[in-house]
Amino acid sequence: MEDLVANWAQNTHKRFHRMVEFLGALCREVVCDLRNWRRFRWRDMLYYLALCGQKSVSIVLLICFLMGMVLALQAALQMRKFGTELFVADLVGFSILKELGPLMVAMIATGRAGSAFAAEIGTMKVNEEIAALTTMGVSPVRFLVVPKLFAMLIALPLLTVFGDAAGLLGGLFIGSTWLDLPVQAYWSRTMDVLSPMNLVLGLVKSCVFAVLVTFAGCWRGFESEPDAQGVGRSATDAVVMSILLIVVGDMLLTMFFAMFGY
Amino acid sequence: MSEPVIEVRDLTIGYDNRVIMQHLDFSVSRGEVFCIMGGSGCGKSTLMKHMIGLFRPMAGDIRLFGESIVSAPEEDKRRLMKRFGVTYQGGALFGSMTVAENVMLPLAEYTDLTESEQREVAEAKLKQVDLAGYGDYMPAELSGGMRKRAGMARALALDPELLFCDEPSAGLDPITSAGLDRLILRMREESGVTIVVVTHDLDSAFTIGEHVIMLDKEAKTIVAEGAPAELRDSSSNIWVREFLSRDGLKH
Amino acid sequence: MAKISNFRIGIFVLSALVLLAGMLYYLGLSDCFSRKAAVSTFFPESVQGLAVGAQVKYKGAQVGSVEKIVILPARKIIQVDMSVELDSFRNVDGSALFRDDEDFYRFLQKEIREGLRCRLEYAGITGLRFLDLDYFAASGEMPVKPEFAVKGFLLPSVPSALRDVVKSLNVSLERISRIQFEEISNNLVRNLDDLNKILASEDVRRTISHLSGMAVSMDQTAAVFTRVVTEDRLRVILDDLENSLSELRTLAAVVRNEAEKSDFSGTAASVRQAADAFSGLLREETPEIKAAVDAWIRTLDMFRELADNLNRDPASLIRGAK
Repeated sequence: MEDLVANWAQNTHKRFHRMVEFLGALCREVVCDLRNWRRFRWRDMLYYLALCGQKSVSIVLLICFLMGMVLALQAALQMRKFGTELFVADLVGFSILKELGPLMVAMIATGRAGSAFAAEIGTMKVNEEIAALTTMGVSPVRFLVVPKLFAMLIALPLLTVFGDAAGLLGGLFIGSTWLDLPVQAYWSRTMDVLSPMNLVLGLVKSCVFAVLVTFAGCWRGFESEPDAQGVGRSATDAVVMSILLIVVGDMLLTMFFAMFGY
Repeated sequence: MSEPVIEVRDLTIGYDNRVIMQHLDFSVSRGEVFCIMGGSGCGKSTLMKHMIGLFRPMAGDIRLFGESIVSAPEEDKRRLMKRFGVTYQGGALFGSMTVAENVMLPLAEYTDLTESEQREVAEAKLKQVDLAGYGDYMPAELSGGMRKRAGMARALALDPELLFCDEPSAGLDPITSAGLDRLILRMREESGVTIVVVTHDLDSAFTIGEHVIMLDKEAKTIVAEGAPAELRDSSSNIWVREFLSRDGLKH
Repeated sequence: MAKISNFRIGIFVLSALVLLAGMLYYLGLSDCFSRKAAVSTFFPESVQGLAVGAQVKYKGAQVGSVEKIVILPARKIIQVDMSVELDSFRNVDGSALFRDDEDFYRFLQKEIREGLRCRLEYAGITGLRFLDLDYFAASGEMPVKPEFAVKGFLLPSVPSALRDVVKSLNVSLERISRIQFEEISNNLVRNLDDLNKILASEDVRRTISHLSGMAVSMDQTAAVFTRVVTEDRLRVILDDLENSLSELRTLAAVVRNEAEKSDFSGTAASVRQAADAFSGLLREETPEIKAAVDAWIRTLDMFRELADNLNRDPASLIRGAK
């Protein structure tokens, strides 16, 4: 039993050490690429931008629109009791812009990109491509992670804009049909209560989520066992780790923003 | 005997706390084709990965070109890596890049050549491995043997002094395998490169190997060292003789 | 690597940026381009529910928002700074009413004379509040200027409607609190106890039984009276009474004649003597006379009661009491 615990502690320590090392390498390579942008792998970045961004637009629009509708419906059921249906616009607006927009987009990105990153890097590990990179003196982090990170840093905030707009429209749809509120009144109310800062802080959140999803996906890929099952496990672990990091990050960011009154 | 390119001294390798091989002592001379042989799972590839600096040994030292790759700082390690090339079992080509781009990658990293110059070099290297005209193919469009040859072209891109080949004939038919053996010999003749081959294919070992070390999984160390034919005929280790003579009878 | 379309990526990025710019504009960046005037006000009351960003309305229409809320503990007041959008005010032809801040301030100065004030109002049941600029004070009534300098235009405030209600409520509650409910309650309980005791006493019980007896006697008397006094006999009595009255009238005329002829001085002396004698009699025979008078009063009372009964129910004279 003692051996098991000692083994576990040792493994955890080693894994944590490797994770910190990976984070350090990521920071270093990001700085290197920013300094020497000609070395940056633009084409890879565009590929991941298409994969995680452009190809996710439709699913983001659909899910966020439905999320806005669900939110509005749930809020309307409660607020009708008090005759405060117009406040549905407040609830939907704040929830979508400050929380659910960035969160839902990050979840979709986790499903699409996080697991794909882990599987891709895991498969490269199986095929010894990572080893090949290392022996060529090319940093795998710079070659594989940095383009993904920049692509996600661009794609997620842009997707969040789409998600926010779709969510607000979902709420508007329910407000104007289910609640019989005038479209103009609902829209004016939404625009009155929301501020550009709400939108900007949501985008800041989505940038942080982009870093977390990329980090979790790539880290689990590098940690993948060099076999088919190992790659599958790493993809699953990447999704779980991403969701955990996103939720924890969201809580910390919300607390941080709340300290400044937002 | 010429100066050793690789010196392995009292090396112990393994994963975590599990020892795979120990007390390894051998050296590789410049310009020779050196074979690391042994049964499946005995740790041949693991030894090679230690030699190219991917893994850190549990004990002992590995010196490449007179410098320790074990204790070298990152910068020195990178400099050392620039002097050798590695080909992997499956070719290890990057699936997101064309064959030519794969070959150009080390050039882009280490040279100041323009993109067109890099492409010219890549085409020449591909021609060297009999893959002229395949530059724009994606790796997925190539056969296993072609991928290995493309991997070799990439490993040779920087004209290394030392080439490591991990199981070059694994998974290939005998004709393709023999073709790769001929290619390795041609490389050595054309550029005088020192070649370390990890293989369990006796045909290859007898065709290209000048110096062989035999690793035994049970003994966890080198059980025989010398020329392949010599070992087959006069090794004191009966397992080595049987291992080499099973297919070696043909030779 | 799968083929990617740079055009599609471009469309994705471009449309997202356009959407972002549109959302930012509609969510409030447009405010950056609007002309605003700074106005301040002070509240001695609590501004609970008022927050930065709260609406500022002019006669119910939104014209701006609260920019800053500052506490001035030295004077126990809250300073509220607000920004008012000048373009919210228009001429009839739709053109801008104010050229600049100064123009707007002159307008406010004029309106303050007309009674324009700032008041805290509730924005529904949420507890949130907004500032309403409306005409609350009487025309011509000017506010007292604060003794300290104010940055920007100062618009005086009036207490919120709720504050008046709360104030009245407080006064009422204070007055109610002065009433000593406990003492009143104790007194009431004590009085009720006393009343119960009196009602339970022997005297009261006896009095009630006497009253019952009297009522029975009265009923019997009334029955006898009804039996005795018939209509014919009443007519005879009334006739006799009429005759007697005419005789009395005749007698009175005779007496008057005799009196005119008589000497009253002697008579007066005689009367005085008789009165003295009567007084002496009264003094000597007081208990008997008192008893007689009491009996007479009781009889009179009974007759008054009888008369009342007859008055209420005259038919009882003929058919007897019920």
